[in-house]
Amino acid sequence: MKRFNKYFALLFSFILTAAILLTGCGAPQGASGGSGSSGNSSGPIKIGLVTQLSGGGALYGKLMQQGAQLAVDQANEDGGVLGRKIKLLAQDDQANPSESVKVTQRLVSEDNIDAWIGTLKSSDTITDIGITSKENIPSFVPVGVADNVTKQGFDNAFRNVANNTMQITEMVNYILKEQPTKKMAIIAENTDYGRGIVDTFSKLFTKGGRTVTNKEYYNVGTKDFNDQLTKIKAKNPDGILIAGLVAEGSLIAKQAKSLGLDQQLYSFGGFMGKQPMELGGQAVNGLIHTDYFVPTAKDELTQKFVKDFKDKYGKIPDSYYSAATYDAVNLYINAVKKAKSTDPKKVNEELRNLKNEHTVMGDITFDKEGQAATKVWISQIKDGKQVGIYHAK
Amino acid sequence: MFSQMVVNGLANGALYALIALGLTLIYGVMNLSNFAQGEFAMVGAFAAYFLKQLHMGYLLTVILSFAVAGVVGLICYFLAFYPLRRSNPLNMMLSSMGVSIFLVNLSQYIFSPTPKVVETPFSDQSIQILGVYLSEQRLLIVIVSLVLCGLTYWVLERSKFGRSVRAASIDPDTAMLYGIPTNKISMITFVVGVALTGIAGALTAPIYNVFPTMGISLTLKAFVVVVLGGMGNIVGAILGGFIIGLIESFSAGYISTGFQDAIVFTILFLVLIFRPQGILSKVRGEKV
Amino acid sequence: MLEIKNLVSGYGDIVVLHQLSLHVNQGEIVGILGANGVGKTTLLKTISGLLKTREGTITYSEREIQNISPYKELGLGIAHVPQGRHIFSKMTVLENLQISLDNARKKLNEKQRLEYVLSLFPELKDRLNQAGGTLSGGEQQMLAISRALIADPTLILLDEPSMGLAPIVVQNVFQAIKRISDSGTTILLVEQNAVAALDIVKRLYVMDMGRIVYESQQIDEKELEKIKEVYLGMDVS
Repeated sequence: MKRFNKYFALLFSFILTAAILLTGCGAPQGASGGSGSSGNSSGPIKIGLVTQLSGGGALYGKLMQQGAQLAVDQANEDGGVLGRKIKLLAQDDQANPSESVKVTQRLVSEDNIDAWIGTLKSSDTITDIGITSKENIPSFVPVGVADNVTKQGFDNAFRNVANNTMQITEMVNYILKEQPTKKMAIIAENTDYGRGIVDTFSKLFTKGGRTVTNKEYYNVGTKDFNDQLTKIKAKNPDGILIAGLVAEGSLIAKQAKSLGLDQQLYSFGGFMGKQPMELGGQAVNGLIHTDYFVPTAKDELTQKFVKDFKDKYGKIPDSYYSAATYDAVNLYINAVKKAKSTDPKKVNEELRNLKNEHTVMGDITFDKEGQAATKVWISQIKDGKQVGIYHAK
Repeated sequence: MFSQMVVNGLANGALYALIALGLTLIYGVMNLSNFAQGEFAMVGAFAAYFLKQLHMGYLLTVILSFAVAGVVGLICYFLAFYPLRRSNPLNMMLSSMGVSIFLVNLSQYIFSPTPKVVETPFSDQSIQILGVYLSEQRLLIVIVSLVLCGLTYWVLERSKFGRSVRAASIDPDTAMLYGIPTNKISMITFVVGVALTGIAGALTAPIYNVFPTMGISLTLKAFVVVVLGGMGNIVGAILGGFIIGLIESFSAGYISTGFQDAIVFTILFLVLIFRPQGILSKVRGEKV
Repeated sequence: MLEIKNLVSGYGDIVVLHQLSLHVNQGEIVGILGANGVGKTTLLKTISGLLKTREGTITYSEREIQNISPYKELGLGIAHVPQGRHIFSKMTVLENLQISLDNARKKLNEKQRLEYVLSLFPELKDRLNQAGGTLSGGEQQMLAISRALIADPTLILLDEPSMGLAPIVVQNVFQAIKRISDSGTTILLVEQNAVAALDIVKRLYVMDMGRIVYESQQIDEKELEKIKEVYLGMDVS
């Protein structure tokens, strides 16, 4: 009995630990300490960036950091803003909710940041902005696309990327207009993101007179999708929509092929950039997905950004992580210039008053909730390249 | 769909069996709950990736991954486990968690967290019989797993060395009195146990890709299998692997893909509550 | 054959054996008597290397063995039958015996050795393929002794072979021990059951508090009485 108890306890604690790591239950700590940043007017202007810089998603976090650093360096080369230099404080939140809250809290109360940018995960973004909102610090959301980020009543949150509903809507519109797919199977990650896509897509798709055959789910980190794909195969759809990110999505594409599924594949922002081809190889050829940034777009600002980025980092920015974060820094800098102050209230006011500010991601006008309608592209992977095939307007 | 589900379940089960086999062997002999087990699959997978970069043939990389995982295992054994061999098993378990974190971070440092693709001559082709698909790579996994499980079982049950391993796992001190160098036996068992898992990693690399955190879910799965089969029970681990594979496949097929893991863990809890000694063992706490 | 001089040993911070000395001659059967907890088992464990010798020497066949790993001792011809039998419960009776044969000091003929131990303990004959854990206490003790004997050792260390056995079984086991001794094997027997032990030993030591407190040369009636009265008062029945 003693032995049993011991191992039961061990296993139990391990499972609990794992569960905590996977789902995250870090409650936002009450944020009150710290003198706030409003009185700061000497020394550099500090922009805090909270994103994942180690672990599985570090790749994307680093892209964000590079985009932000590029914008900061360019501004400093031009002599800074209001005679002050700009300093980027990048913090690693390990994509862990409690860690994210912790580093944000530290940026606010110890570093007295003037602006905040983050994160890779919408849920962490919401809790973090819960902290920055107490000091009214202008906070930018360049990456997280869950609808509810801008629906929390924050006055200081600004998202310069189209949200989930916008990209799903564009995808459905595109399919209804341009694709023959009548019966769609959905395989989605078992998160708010995946489930959100399943709900919205199904609603819009069936409204358009087409049907959804499957709604299958997997947990993030899953590597084997045969079970889900076997169920999909039994329903014989003519398209498969992957509502997940590229790590799992590329495996889904591969494993679908080896189960004899040759349907047209669709997905969303997760399939941007080079990674899908690197990870999915032949299996993702022909896959159609939404995109926020196409480096070959014939737009002067985009081309300048791509060139500057390449000069600095030796590679083409092939997804929106860098572009949107680059934009976020510039949006802040321009607002400070207009406000002639880093006073959060004034800067937020300037941001709200923007009208069609031209950025890499599109023309930005923040609505009442702080959401901007940036460009949504439809791209297709063709022979190892991302090709923008469609965009509305 | 039924037959495809059975095939899927058995194919995954073979993999689980192979990893759980290593875990249960190590538990049996060292009394160590090795939470770094999955990381050795990661080490094996990265070995395959790295050797593949040197234009080595895939099958050769699989064999070498066994050696690489074994050598890394040997180093870990002497740094993290051997010094604790006489202390509370809890200390060794904590040490294994440290090894797990260390290996994950080390591989992130060396290879970056980005998933890597390992090419295989088998990857994308499938064998199709009566509408049931099984990719050649998965078939390879099943064959290699079965061979290795069978070989391990044979060595343990039929060879002189296997007798020594079993004796050392039942009663290390008495085994020593009867000429068995138990420290050496536990070292060999540890190295073989993690090297088997290393092969599993190299075998799955083409299907699952390779990344530093890939081992964590494998460790968890292997523990479920080992608890189900009885800690330290070899046959239990092999059967448990297939049972979990089938349960996953059927619960996904007939209940919901969203609850797949929940169902597996519910079964784990039920086993822990009603048959903590595992489904096969007759006596509580029986080992190898 | 076995010569122990000024042996100090123990567990952790606790010293159990204090400057203990004794010797066993070739072919002898020597008893060590003493109450529970006086260090008898510690002594055997130290001889076989499971416990470290802190001071003193253990000489066996003109060779100092106090620093030798325990797993090498069977190869030198020393077989230790531990207290509580400690048979490999999940392995068959035959496997228990094979383990010992595998590691004997020389290559032995399995069939011959098996026949020999089964002639001493015919009870085991029908149980060869049964798991050791399913045997009765007496059979387990017989297996434990057989396991030592099958390796053809020159010295057997026997730790409390009578423990937990019914009197009739004790008699049985001790008769077998006597036969083993008669065949020329040297035996060092540790026992609490003085009555049973006194029947078969040629010479004996009495231990108390980790020391040898009495050493007999020749066991005769008078001496027997003395031992029983003075040192083993509790055990006389």
